[in-house]
Amino acid sequence: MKQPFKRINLTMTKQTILLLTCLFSSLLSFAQEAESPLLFVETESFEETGGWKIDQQSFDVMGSSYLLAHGMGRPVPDATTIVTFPQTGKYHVWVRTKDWAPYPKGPGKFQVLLDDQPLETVFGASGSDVWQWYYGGETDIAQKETKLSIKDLTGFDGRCDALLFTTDDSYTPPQEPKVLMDFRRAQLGLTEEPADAGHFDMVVVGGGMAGTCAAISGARRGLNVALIQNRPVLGGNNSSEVRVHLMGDIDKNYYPKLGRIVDELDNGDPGNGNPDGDEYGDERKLAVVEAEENISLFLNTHVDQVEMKDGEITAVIGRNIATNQEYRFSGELFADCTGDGTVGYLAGADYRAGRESQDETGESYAPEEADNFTLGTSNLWASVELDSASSFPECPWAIQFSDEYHIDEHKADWQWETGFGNFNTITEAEQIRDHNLRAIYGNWAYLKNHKQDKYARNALAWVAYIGGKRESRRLLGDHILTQMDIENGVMYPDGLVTATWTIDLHFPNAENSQYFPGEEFFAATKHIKVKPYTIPYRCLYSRNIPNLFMAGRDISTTHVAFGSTRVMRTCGMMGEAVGFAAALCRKYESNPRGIYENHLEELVDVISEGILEVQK
Amino acid sequence: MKIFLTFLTLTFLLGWLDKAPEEKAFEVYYPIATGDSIRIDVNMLYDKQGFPEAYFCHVKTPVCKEGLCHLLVVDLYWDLLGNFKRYELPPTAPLTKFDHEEFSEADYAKLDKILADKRSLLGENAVEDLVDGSSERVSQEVDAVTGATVKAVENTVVSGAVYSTYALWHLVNGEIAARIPGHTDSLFDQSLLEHFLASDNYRYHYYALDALTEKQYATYMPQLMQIIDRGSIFVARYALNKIPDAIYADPQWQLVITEQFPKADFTTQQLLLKRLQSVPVSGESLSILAQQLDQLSEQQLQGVLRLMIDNQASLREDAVDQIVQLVHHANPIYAEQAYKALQQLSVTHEQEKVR
Repeated sequence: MKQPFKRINLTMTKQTILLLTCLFSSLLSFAQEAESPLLFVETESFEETGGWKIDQQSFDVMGSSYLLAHGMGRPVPDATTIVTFPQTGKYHVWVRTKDWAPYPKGPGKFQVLLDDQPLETVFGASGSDVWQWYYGGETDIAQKETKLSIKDLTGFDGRCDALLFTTDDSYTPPQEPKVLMDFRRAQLGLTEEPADAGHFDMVVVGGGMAGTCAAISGARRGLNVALIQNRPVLGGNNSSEVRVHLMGDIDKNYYPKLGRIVDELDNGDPGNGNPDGDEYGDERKLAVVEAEENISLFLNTHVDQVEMKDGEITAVIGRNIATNQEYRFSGELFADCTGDGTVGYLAGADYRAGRESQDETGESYAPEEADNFTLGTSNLWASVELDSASSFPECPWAIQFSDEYHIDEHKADWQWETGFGNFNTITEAEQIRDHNLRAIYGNWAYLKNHKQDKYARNALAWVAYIGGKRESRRLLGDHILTQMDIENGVMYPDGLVTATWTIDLHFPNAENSQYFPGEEFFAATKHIKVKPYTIPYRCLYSRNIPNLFMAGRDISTTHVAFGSTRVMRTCGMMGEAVGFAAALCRKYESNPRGIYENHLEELVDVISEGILEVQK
Repeated sequence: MKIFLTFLTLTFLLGWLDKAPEEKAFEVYYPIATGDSIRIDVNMLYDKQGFPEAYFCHVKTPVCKEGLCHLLVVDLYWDLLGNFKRYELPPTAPLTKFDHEEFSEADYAKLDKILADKRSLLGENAVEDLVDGSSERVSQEVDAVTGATVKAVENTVVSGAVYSTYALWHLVNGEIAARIPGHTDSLFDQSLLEHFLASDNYRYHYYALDALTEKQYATYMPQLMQIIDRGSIFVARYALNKIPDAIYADPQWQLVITEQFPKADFTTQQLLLKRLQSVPVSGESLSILAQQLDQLSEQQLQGVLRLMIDNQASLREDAVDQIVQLVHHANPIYAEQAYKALQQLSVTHEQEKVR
């Protein structure tokens, strides 16, 4: 049965979430602000975001998205909205922001405008990289309905989370994370039940290659599927927002039936960081998904809660990254294709992060001691050559380069990477992205100002503000794939997905390490050749959450084995396999482990030649 | 391509016409596919002042795969520390790829980058591992058998010229490069030290900084300040890190060094603050830092105010004035830090009001 709404349309539900907390509000915990009129505005809910981008990458840390002025050095058009003040008169203005590059003072400057008149205070260059409320002075509001804007002054990634107006002289907005989270929820009216998005046979969280393939595969086997993605486009690292090309082969499969959906989504190989974003085929992916009647697609929706009953997931709850409207997606089966293993983590699934020790796994490529080292995150970029010369400012707040050391490239490739255990890929995702930006802008400023013979006519065409994350949590299944499984080419009875990529474990480039110890942003690798091998089905479901599948980089492997399984065609085929298995779960009213224990032969048969009909 | 070849020809001919003085430095034996090896004489070139300038060798070696060979003829140049500088090809023997196709300009550019990468994967892999035997292509021509370059390492070789790239990389980054520093060590004396310090080669700066004794640091501070002021920011940081505490403690040199602070990049500023923490800081130096207070990051501000408190006895009035002004800073965090610092500096409210 089709859901009441198939695709959440931003314009349909978009509303400026401006909620007035009045005197005698029922929110006893916020008695202080209840004493005076107060207006709270989330910037991501502005009616017009102008040139500012909605960034949800730190949602799990901040409890909110924010607006980012990502102009690659050119100020972006203003973001604007109309707000209604509870009364006219004097208000104190508070702005929640940070100086993202306090080295010593950052470039992300912006102003707040009321009816096109700027407040005096310039925000974003405070010298502190902690998100906090900054006082913006007093202002006189002459009309209840007022145009509110934020004006970018630099084009260098200034950011603004929220604005607050109060008539109370002594009021200070909450700063402590938990209190702030409650405050947001209260102000946004999120304390009531989330909207019901429907009940599904399978809820797929994450619209990268793995999740998209899982949703399509399940839908084509007759399952009623929700596909939830926290960006406006599908494809994840292969989308135009990240621009990593698809790797891993689909023509060496033990079961050739896998890989067909991956092939449908594949828009050709534009390499990494191609300046033409269209090459990555966002539209193709969307069109393939929208052609599936059994898929309800929810873009711009970030899942941050799960509901459990008797140890199983019964629903996930996601919030629209622009409107902040919450939705509940209930279901029978769930597939964690988030990359970060978010659903599994929230549900209490067993997981690992970082590297196991040699003693633990017996792998020769594992370190002697277990640690928190992970592969990094890339923010790719590209310049294009134009007819005339252009300038780019010096960026003293960025990483500094010289003739002795700089990256002499007109565009990025995979080596532009930050992480490596220096930063946590989940809790410090914003810092990782920002470190990448400081490397990109610093290096580009060097090339433009000190190597003009070569770069005068090149101009930045694109810099990713969405990080292409390689590694985070690995959810543990009934089998944990190891280096030995790969090197010995072990063919388990449930070996389904054929992988071909080398064991490709990045580490900091040695020269980069020498210059930036502990702050590396450039990677090297050793490609350890492998022969095609198969990933067992038991790596694709959680060992302790009975109705949870996973596909993508968060499947059950060791860190070393992950070095080979993580490429996107391979991840896509995992999704396809999950879709097949989910259909069998529905057919037999079983769970993922039940299929392995009782119906493996049929699963293998289905992905070989058999045709599966789901009885409804 | 013609222009490029003409350029190469001219370079080659000019190289012969204007040959610098040279003498043999050492010899190496380079293994070739037949199991034999060829002798390569490595010579040292001198500049007009008689200082060693570069190492050079002329190489003529077969490059082979499974008995199919072609001759590689090339002149190679390194600096005095074994860093590869350039290669020169005879005009009649340009580099070629699969099926004798000549290198394009893009291929030469790529080769330059590959040869400059001392840590290339070429150093750790056998040449056989760089081609995929399962998809070997066989040319109709006798000496042009090659495999399809393994996709994963295609950026580390010139496509279609794996064996030539591999051979050149090992000639450039192999034993010769490894032995050159040792030979230079044997020649190193005070005049070469001074020559290095005065050069504009950052690698020579590092070498000299490592060679200096603590006593020599004091002697050569004028030259070091030139390097810090005008050289690579990375060498500047290295020098600032190596300069002994005794020099930081010397009021005259401390002031000269601290004067770098306002124009230094953030990382160098952090380094300077760290070094100043371990020595007494003069009033003049503190005043230079005080003028920067509102330009500092929150974290730096804490560090500089700490320095002022720790060196309260030498703090001048103009520096205290700068702190007082900061009490009125728009950023409440800065104002609060300044206020706390003033409290610790025993500046009374009355004094503050007077100021």
